[in-house]
This record gives sequence, C-alpha cells and structure tokens, in this order.
Amino acid sequence: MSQLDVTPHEEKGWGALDALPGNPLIWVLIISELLVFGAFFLGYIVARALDPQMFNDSQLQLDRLLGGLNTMVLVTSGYLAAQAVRLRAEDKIGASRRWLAGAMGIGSVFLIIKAIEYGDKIEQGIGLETNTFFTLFFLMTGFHMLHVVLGLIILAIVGVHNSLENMETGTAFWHMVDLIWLIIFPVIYLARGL
Amino acid sequence: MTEERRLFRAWLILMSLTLVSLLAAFGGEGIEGGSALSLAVLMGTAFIKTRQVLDHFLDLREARAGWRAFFTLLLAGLLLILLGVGLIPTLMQEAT
Repeated sequence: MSQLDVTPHEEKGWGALDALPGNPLIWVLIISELLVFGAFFLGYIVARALDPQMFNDSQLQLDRLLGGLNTMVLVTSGYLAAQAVRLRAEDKIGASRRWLAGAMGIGSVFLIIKAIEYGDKIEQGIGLETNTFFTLFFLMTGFHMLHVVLGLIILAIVGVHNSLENMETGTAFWHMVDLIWLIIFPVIYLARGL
Repeated sequence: MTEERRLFRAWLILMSLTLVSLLAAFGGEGIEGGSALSLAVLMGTAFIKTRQVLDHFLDLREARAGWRAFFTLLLAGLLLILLGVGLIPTLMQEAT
C-alpha cells in the first residue's frame, strides 16, 4: 500500500489546506478574495469616517429594498447550489442538474436587479466620478458583480462536467460570492445616519 | 437532522436575518442612539449570516477547529473594525 493510500489528505501536498473540505485551491481563492474585499471595506469605512455627511447624503440615494432583495436572491441561489451538491453526492445526477440550473436562474436575477439599480443611478446623472462614495460604491459592487458573472459561468461548466469534486469546487466559488455580498449589503446600503 | 433539512434551516436563518437587518436599518433612524445600535445589529447579523454560509453551504463545520477559528477571527475582526471605525463620527459628534 502506498503512502497515498494511507493518508489521502497528505498526498495532495497542500499542508493545512488539505484539512478543508473540497479542493484546497478554492480555499486559497476564498481567503484571497476575503482579504481583497476586506481592504476595500477598510478603505470605504475610513473614507466614510473622514466625510460622514457626504457619505450619508449619498447613501440616501441607494435603494435599500433592492439591496435587500438582491441579498435574498443570492442566498436562495446559494441554497439551491448547496442542495445540488447534496443530490450529486447521493448520485441523483438529473435532480442535481435541475437544482443547479435553478441556482443559476435565480443568480441571474441578481444581475437584472443590479442593471435596474445602475440604470436608475445613471438616469439620475450619478456615476463613478460623482463623489468618493459613488466611486467606492461602483467599484465595490461592480467588482462583486463581475464575480457573479464569473460564478454563473463556473456553475454552467460544473453543471456539464458534474463530478462531485467539480460541483463542490464550482459551488464553493458561488458561496464565496454570496459571502462577500453579505458584508457589502449592510456596510454600503444599510449603515447610514451615524 | 437530515442534510436536506440542515441546508433548508440555514437558508431560513439567512432570509430571516436579512429581514432583521433591513428592519434594524429602518428602525434605527430618528431614534437617539438608534444609529449606533442599528450598526451593531447590522454587523452582528452579518457575522451570523457569513458563519451560516461557511458552516453549512461551504461545509466548514467539517474542518478542523483551527480553520474554524481562523475564519471566525477573520470575519469577526473585519466586522469589529468596521463597527469601531463606523462609530467614530457618532463619538466625535457627541464629544463636540
């Protein structure tokens, strides 16, 4: 029996990352993304502390209900993706694909709502250069939106090449996108009036 | 509890806490000290929601305690800094 057979986690050669569920590379990405967005959040909150009145006035122009709706859309999509992985682990491949398609369908609604929101801002003459708040708003939510687009593409790929490991890895990216939005929503849309 | 029900429960918690955060944001306006309280509720609910995603959707609950502690510290640290720096304008306003 080889060493690989005895200790399957050790054979991957990812050290401590082997202890995490799924493909270790996805955890490298998740930690990196959390740190990148963490830096964005710190920049945002410091800029806000320097000019709270401008941030509060600008924030009043955001639609909190649309932001809340998008949060519900993303967590529901994440839930469907998690159920798809569970079904794949139970070898229910057809059902797994249907749940994953549902996750992608609901995930696409996020982009529609975002387009409505951005369109509304542009109609009001608000853009990237309006002020510091909107520069950060468009940069952070736009960067996140690109992750949503990439996530949908990844879900489509793992829906076709749906080994359990592919499904776990692809949906982990999707959950990471969800995770970041769960901080963007309260910090940018809701925390106002201080 | 079956895997299916565990995921459903996590989804219910996520949806409920999203409503709580919306209510906290709307409810904190116009009340003395309400903004600071609402910011604390927002960061608290954000922490619970991110833990739900990590533990149940990303299956971190199956990972070693060290990894669980790492992610808890990373998220709690970030949210506490956001809460602390976010409160600075209020504290300065009260001081003047």
